Amino acid sequence: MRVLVADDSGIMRKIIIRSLNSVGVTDIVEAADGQEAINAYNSNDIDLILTDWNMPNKSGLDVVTEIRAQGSNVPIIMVTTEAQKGQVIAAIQAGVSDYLTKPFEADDLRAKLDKFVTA
Amino acid sequence: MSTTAPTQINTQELSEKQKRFLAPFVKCTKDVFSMMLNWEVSLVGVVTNDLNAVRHHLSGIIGLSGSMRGSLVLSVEQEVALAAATAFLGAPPENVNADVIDTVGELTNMIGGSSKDRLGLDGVSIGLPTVVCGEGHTVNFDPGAHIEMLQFQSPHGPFTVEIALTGIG
Repeated sequence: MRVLVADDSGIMRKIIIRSLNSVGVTDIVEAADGQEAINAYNSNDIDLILTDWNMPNKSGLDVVTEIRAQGSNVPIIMVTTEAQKGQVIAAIQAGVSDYLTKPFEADDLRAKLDKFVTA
Repeated sequence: MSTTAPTQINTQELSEKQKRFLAPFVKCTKDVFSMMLNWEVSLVGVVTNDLNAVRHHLSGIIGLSGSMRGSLVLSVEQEVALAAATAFLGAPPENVNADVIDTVGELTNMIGGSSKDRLGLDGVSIGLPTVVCGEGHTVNFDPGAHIEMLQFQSPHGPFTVEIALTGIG
């Protein structure tokens, strides 16, 4: 499977990619902002998206909204520091499949990946 | 510029009001280091309103805006930043490279973001973190900001978390 990882922090992308590698995923596309994420989604056959919320150009919420507007059901996990109830609700309403709040423990991320990563 | 004289106290001398104000920042800082790095860190001192406080080699800065306005600064020694990046990457970086800078920025982002949520204030948003480095660098806050510098000790060296807020009682 091919996974898109969108985060403006290079180190956070590497943390997520290490976790993806640990569950056997090596086909990974990276994006450093929201617009890059949308472009990458539109030009690749993506099976799972992990996206930050606060990014330059377009936010993670914009990414979710635009991809869902295309009629896509691709699983999207929001990985973000935004943890207030209203924001979680907004993300769910926009169409996220799951939500992981930073900071997280390595096992928390792996548990989310286990739900969506297929052999 | 703040008119209050700077004071440095140990954590046993904090007033109840100060403890309540600082508690979310202390808790979130400990959580970020514990959860992301598996480091136990401890609060060892607090400096209030010292515009000349000495910072460490790398500082991550994040802005708060909306119903609460100000900045949060995480300042770490090079050894702390390198050890944190090593924990994130699984291998030590050769020098203070983009990964190390990003590590400081992301830790700042997580402390700022989770503190904002723990404060429970609606209508506060955080910006994107920026990182500055170099011995003796300075960070300028809003004139009149109330500044609290939390001094922590980690297994890899000292670091500080500074909160500068305007419009608080």
